[in-house]
Amino acid sequence: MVNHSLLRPELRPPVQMALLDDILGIVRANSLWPMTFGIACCSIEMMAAGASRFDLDRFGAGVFRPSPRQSDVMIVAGTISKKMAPTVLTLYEQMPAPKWVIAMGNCAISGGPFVYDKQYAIVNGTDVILPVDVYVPGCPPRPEALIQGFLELQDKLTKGGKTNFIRHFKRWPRKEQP
Amino acid sequence: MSFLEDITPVLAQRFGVENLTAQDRARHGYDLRLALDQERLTELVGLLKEAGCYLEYITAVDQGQVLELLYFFGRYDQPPFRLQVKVAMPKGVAVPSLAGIIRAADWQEREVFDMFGQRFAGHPDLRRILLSEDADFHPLLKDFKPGPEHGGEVVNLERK
Repeated sequence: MVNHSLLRPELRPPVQMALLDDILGIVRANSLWPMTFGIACCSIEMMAAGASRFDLDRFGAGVFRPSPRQSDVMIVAGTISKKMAPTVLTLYEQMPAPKWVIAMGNCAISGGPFVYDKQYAIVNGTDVILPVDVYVPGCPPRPEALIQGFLELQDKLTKGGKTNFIRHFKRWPRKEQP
Repeated sequence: MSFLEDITPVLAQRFGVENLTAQDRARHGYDLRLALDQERLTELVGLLKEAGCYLEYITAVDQGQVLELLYFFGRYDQPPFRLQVKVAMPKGVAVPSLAGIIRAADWQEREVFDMFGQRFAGHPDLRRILLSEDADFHPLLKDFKPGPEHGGEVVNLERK
């Protein structure tokens, strides 16, 4: 039996085929739920990014969850002291996979201003203890920078961002109104 | 009549005039300084608590063989009142804990223990508070040298 829909273009069903992974990537990228979790002063900028002026919710990432069990993204916003490191690691392990980490600010990237030779109190960067996906530099970064970090993370999930049609929603053609 | 004028003769009579020094508040930040033996610390704190004072903070200074503990007491008053109590003793001698009298002294004494290794007799829970639990050093002592044996990472910050 010949499938005529493959031969005649006008009979093709209006369905696009894609890998399930790509669809899940788009879905996940547009509903990144961060954890309500701030260690130091960068978390103030994180709160500003979530509030109405910068409105992280435009990109689906404004639902700050109060529990690691419900969140996808851990924003490490601040200095990780050696006392705090086991707690951060526990929180990361409590998050269900798939999960991502954003290192926000210089302290979370490399230890920042607290690094000197043979210092004993601070972990020199989040990537010493956790796998980090996006680094947002700044001391502290502006809320726009954190938002751009989220967009980079979305691009990572959707493999470049071109398939992320939800973000490019405005570019869809509209019918002319009579 | 201010609280300072009230409390000065009481402290002078019970703890000795020679131990009590009046200070310029505008310059030093406190009105009175009292040098004290560690055995009489509990007695003094009981007196101050009855007089309505509160514990501001505890800190310490490493003076070689001697460790100076500095207790600051304040009182909500007009004009404000602040008293510095200096307890100096050789290192390794335990000081009576104030946590049974003033609950706020609990964490303050843990911090002094953490940074200087000073023991407090009768403290309910004398653990590390700022450094990690397995730390084996007291970083604010003068003979402390940071190094890899204390978990310090060797980093080269010079620009190549």
